[in-house]
Amino acid sequence: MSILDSYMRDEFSDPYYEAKIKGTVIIGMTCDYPRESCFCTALGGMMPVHYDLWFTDIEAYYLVEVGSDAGMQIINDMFLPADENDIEIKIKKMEKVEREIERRTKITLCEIKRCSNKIVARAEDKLWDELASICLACGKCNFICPTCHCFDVRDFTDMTGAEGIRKRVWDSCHLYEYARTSAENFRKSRVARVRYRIYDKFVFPVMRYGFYACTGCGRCTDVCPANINIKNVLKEMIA
Amino acid sequence: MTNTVFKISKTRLKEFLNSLITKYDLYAPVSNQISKFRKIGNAREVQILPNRTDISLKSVFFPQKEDFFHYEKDGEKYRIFDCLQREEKKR
Repeated sequence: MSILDSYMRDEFSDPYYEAKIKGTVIIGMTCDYPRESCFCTALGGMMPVHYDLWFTDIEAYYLVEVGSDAGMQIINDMFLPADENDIEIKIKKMEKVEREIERRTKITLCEIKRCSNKIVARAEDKLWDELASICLACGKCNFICPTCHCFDVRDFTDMTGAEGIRKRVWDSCHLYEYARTSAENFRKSRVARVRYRIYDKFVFPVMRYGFYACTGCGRCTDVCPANINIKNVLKEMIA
Repeated sequence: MTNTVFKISKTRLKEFLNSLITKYDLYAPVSNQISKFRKIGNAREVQILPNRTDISLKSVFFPQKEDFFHYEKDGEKYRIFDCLQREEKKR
């Protein structure tokens, strides 16, 4: 959510997003075990930087970490103080899940930190052609991504134009129409669109904000009809 | 904040979530083949999943479709109804 916040509330504040997020209390929970596609440990870890309350299953209890005043305000008499033993159980549990993700992923945070420069260095690499040859450009990876935020604005009117509604709808940089303007389409080729998406996750946000716009959730891998695995793409890039 | 680490019994989690529902709109994971976040009426609906949901939290704050404004012709002018402020602007 903090990545989406940077896009929606940083330089320009999106009033529609702002109206929903304002006053929101975020309560998260540590995973018991990772999914096959998960690799969050390579991109910052299992716990987000910003949260209000964070729960971790420690046998008969949930350990609850407070990350903000808003989180503290919803702590009530159902909560008991945690002791060192509880914290120790939580640390061991997180380490176990992290080890499992790293075992499956085989990408470490250290390697990922280099990937922005490596991707730029390989801007004209044939890897992009290979990727574009299997990508269907359906846009599912964009729509499922928790940080993709591009949208289109459309007017829906009646036949006379006397009444209508203006809406925004999600858009995808993989779609041919995405870069079509009144003058030209500046990203006609699928290669350019495939490359743009990877750049917009691992290069542009680093230049603009200093972070990767990828949480390592692996949802794009799960939904891809062409079986493109983002972990494998990154491994190839940083190889 | 003095003490920032607490614990709560698992048997009291639903009671805690129901206490939140009295003060907040609660969005939490539900799973019916596809797991996602949905507005919760009672903590019984919440499903504590062992790992992430299929659909992320994004669509709660940035929905797939969102109305900006409605407009309708009024004589020679248009009347605009801002969906966010729910008030009429004239042009």
